[in-house]
Amino acid sequence: MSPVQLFMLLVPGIGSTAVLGLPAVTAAFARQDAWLAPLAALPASALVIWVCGRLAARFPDETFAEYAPKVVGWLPGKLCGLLLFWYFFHLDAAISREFADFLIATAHPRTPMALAVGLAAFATAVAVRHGPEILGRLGELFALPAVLLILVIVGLAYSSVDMRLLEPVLENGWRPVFVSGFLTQAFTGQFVLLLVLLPSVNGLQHGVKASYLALGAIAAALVLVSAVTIAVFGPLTPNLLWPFFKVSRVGSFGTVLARVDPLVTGLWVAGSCLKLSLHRYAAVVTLAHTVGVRDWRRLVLPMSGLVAAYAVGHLESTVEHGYMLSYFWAPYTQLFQLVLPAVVLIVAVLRGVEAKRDERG
Amino acid sequence: MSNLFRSFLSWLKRRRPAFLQPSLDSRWVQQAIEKRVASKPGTIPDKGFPGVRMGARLDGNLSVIRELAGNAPDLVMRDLHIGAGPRAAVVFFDTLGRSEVVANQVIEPLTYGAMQKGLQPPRDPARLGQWIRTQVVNTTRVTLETELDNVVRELCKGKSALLVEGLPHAIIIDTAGYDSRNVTEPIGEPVVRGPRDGFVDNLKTNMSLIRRRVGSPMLRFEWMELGRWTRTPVVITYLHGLADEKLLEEVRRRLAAIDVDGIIDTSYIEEFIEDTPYTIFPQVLNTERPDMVVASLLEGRVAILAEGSPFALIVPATLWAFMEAAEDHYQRWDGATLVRLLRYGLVALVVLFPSTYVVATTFHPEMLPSTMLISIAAAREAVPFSSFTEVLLMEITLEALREAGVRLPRPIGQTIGIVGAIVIGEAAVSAQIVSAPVVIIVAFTGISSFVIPHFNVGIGFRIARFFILLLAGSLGLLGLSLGLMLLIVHLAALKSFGQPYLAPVSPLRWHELADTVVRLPRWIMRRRPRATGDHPRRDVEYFAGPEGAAPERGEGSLRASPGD
Repeated sequence: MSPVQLFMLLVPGIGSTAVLGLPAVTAAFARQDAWLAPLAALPASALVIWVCGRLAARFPDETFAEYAPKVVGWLPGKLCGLLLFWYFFHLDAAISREFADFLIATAHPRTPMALAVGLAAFATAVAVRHGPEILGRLGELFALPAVLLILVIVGLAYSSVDMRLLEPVLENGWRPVFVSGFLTQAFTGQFVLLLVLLPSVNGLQHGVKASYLALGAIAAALVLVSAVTIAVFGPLTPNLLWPFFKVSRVGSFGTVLARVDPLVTGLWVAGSCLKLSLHRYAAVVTLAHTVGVRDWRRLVLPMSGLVAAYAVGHLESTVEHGYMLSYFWAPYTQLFQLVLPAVVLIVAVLRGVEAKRDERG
Repeated sequence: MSNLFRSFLSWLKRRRPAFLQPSLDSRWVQQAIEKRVASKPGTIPDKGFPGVRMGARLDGNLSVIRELAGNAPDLVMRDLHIGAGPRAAVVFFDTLGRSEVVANQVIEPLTYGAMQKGLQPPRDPARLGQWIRTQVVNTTRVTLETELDNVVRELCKGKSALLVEGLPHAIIIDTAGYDSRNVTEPIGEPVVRGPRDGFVDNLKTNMSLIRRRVGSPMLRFEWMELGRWTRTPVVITYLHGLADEKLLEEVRRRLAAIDVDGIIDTSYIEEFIEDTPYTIFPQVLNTERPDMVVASLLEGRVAILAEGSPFALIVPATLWAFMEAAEDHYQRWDGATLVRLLRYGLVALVVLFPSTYVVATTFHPEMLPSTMLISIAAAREAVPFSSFTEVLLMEITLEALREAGVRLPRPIGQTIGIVGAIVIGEAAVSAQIVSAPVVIIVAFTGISSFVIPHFNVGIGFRIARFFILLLAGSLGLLGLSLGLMLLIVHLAALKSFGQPYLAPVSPLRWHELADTVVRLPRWIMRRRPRATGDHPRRDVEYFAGPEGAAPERGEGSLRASPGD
């Protein structure tokens, strides 16, 4: 995978779900200032990338689960690997769930959730089995359409945009902005994927640079999306489930296509499939390296089944999902995205552990 | 020391005892061959008769060859005397070699010509062979063969063997020539502007069509025989220095591994050398245009030709290569780009239009503008089927019509068109079995599928269309996008001789993009595309114009020219 591929993989691979649902979550705290939240999340997310980059610089050819036992000792290392696996697994299931919720709520009200989740799990399993190289190529194919889609939605909704809804700026000071920035960090902190992806990128430094650029692109997209959403719906935004999707309902192509939202759904299915497969890959590889399975490909299909089952079973309803995202998800994910790699990095620095010179090649 | 050893070896070779050199002079060898032909003929194409040499006695050689060919009616054995000297015979298949060539170039100089010029054949057999080859026979390609296997093989390729009494080997004279199609315009890939010659079924002619276009001696032909029984000559051609060595090695490896009874067409080879056999997309490009082969060679690709097939294979191939017609490179770049964009748009329609219609009418009527929705609903009012069934029915009808039209002779083919258009289209709509929009959509899809320049990739897209249609009909939008997603994943993971199928779009290679979805002007393509490895710059100055940007005087100059 080239650094360009990594960039184009991360943008739709991390941004796709955030774009759709984030404005509602952040607007609940920051109101009309929610568009500042991604900017508030930038430093912490950059820190995640920095930590991953430093760890990868110490162990350029290994994933987290491989070098964690060398750094913190065998048993704690394996536990760290399992924790990271659990994070990817849980996140993958949560994305599946969100995907199915969205699909059922907007396009297919009578489709059973198990079917939607199961099919998505199967399709992504096919992609994951091909390995990171193919995921990178898929990223290249999906990145441009994804960005174009956002621009088209924004363009179509342009007549409904009312910039005065963004005022007054910073009405309640910086505090609510930082709170919603913390919530945003749950999404942008998903750059912890780099712990698994960086070994398959040619050129470590360029890979890390590409990740910073991807973070910038995602933050820019989120700012744009949040601002447009708030400028269209104003104080209504926190009450909507997928506010940016509602924005796409505002626009139309006149006599050709009355409504673009099924189109958005269709493309978004592809986008979240990319995200699903990225996290599935991370989960499978982390588990395989933790328990020492030689061929991670064999775990893909069973893991996809498990993810699908967990996704269907672990939440009662969409409401519970929304509640989880707003109040529990952000601090929970920070444990894995920032704390876990940071602790391992600190220990590695203190103990001076790094891959042997000859291993680095 | 090593010289001594070598001379000792050659001495041993010359002095090999007679019983270690089975030759056709021996009655015992002749009988063994006859017995094997009679009882175990299946082993002969595989193993032949290793080590058996031609004999010095003419009659023994002739009888074995006659026996091996099964007294073939087209095997000609012409007895003659060289000058006034030794007996000899010319052996060849007159279905493969040209009788008049043999008569004029071989028999006449050996008999009448030698007598008239008063040439004396030397007595010594070794000098006799030399004398025949260098001074008497008129054709250009003359070789010596000692082994029976090789002699018979050359005979089966249309060459003639001159056997002389007392000479323990055959003189092989190339007199091959048989009727073949003339070089004509390629039927499958016609162009409005561009070269009009196409490959024929004759390998030699095809090679000459390529060699004519490449002046450089770096053009390479590598010859091999494939097929146990057919022994079809197969030629790998490439430009030495442009084609990647690893790619070549891989082509050689895959071709050498082929073990079949026969190669009838290059498509046989294609099935053996594909990277992924279980896919609906072809991974080896085929063309009957020599100009396309040469253009591919210049891009560092490798072509494979076979005797008896007017289609050359080109590897590695990408999806974009399948989507480009030769014409694209001969028309101006803007027009070619427009046509290409149109083509890709229509291909997207081929794959997605029927299923999008099904999704829009069955699951998401809100997508359609209300006036269109009303007219579609009115058309569908009396139709008994769901729109999925309708589309599927009409698609199957279209495929049936197309297949019937291809296979039938031309006069009847037109009837099929009329039957298809009037009976099935018009009548089905007025009988309200299918609705008019479906007929329009299916017909449009059918037309769109004809813009794909390469037939075999078109078949792939048609199969994908049914696959996505089934998914869309059962799962709606979810099925449509998952089907599309699976299709894209599959395409992204495909490879052709190690080259990603979607390159240079994914993985992205900027300087090769100029000749994919668009075709930019030739002077923009400053770098050679390369199947593997780096992208060497073409060291060519593209503009022949003057150095200065603006002319000193005359048109376009600030200063007045004397003429103004």
